[in-house]
Amino acid sequence: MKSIQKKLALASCTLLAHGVPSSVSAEEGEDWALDASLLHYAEDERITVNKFIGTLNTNVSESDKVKVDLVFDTMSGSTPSGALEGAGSIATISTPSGAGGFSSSTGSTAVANFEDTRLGVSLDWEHTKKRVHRINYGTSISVEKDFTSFGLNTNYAQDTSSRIVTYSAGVAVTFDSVRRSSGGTPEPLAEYGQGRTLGEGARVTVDTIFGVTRVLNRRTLGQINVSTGFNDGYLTDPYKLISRTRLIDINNPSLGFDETATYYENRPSSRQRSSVYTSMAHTTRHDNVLHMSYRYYWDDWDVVSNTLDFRLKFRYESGFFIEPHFRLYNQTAANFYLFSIDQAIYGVSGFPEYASADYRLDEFDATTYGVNFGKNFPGKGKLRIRLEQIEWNYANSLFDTNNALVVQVSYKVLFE
Amino acid sequence: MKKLKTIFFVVVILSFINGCSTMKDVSNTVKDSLFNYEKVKPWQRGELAKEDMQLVDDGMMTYADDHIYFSKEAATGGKGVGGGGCGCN
Repeated sequence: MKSIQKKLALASCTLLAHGVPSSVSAEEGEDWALDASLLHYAEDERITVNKFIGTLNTNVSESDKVKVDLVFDTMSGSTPSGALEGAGSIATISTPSGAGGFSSSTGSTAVANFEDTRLGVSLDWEHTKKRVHRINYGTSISVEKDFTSFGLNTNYAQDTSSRIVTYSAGVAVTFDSVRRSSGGTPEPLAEYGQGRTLGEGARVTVDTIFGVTRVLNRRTLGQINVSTGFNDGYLTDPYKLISRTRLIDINNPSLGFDETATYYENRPSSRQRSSVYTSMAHTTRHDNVLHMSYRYYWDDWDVVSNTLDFRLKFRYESGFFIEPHFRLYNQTAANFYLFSIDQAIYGVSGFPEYASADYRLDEFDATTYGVNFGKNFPGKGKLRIRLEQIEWNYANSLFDTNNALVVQVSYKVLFE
Repeated sequence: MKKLKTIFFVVVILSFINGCSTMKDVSNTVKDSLFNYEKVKPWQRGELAKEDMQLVDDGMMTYADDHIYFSKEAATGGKGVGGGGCGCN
């Protein structure tokens, strides 16, 4: 009986959880929910990440819920630096053995090795008032050897009296500190291995979101969010490089070019971001669940992107489920992205105001496909396993493709 | 990696076959979801209350995806605000 009462209460109140994206909830009315997950992410001959995520939800009173998240990552491998291959005898950013950070292993600066760990903790508290008002306060901290982040956020959601519609608003402020593992940040556009080392880079990020969630019918929920964000401060990547190049033979461009120098990159110190995000969840006539979302994003670095995400969950009476997943993404290049600093344009010593050859600021598209499967244990927990492949195709970057395999195993335990 | 792609498409096809008249299900979805507004009463929300129907139905997957895509793409956000950042490479 108690279980039925809880489910009825949940059925009438569940919309409260939709308006605030980062809301906390102790699922299925249980007092405690412990969710733990292991993720393995491996790129072809590049980066490998192993991640542990643990989340504990609990109802501390009839109107208050608390959620604690713990994340621990180990990251290693190599990543494109932005510089070209065959840079010759260039000094490396070496670090003490095992101390983490980047180093050049081959004499080329095109790929940089790195090794790091990350520990993140976040805490959320949600308070419900008069059943239709809900406010959430959150804080988070994340620490790596070369990066520290501290954030505060709050979200508010209010249902209409019929509870058909939920309006929500949220704001988050994040303070980041960026440095190389050897300390400080390089002087922007200084020659690689030379120039001054400046202090830590600091930046502040403010994000806001406004959303509307609506019950479209007894089997469909829809949501639209409008977000804006502003970054101010050090937005350059202290490890990324860019090469100066010249044509080997100006009369015969087909011979290609060679690299004459390598520099640290430089990005603008502010960024204004905006996005419109829509999503929908729908239970089909055969009790399968469709999740679809689309995001349109743009910013003042001239990056414009589209993201489409599609999942269809097939549910079986035994509690088993299988869910194919498909995601499409594309973006335009940032307006200061360059493959290299072309000597024919900038001469032997001239520079653009900003320049980055970071592949993430290039024009590219990405495709994710995979499958999630698992089993529900009603009232007890849920096992989920996912297997995915991500493929990137870059328009201009030196390494024009990348692939990653994602394996994640999660298990949630519910208890009173 | 080609193996994984093959497995994915085999799983999709088998899932659709196993879902009986799922193709019809999919064709009905557009009609059911986008063109069928109704004022749903509290006692009609049993399906909506299920965890599978939450717009973020698996926090672990969402959290991991946010980290992966944040570190690999220039576009971020849209679902919500808050959470820790990373100095991803």
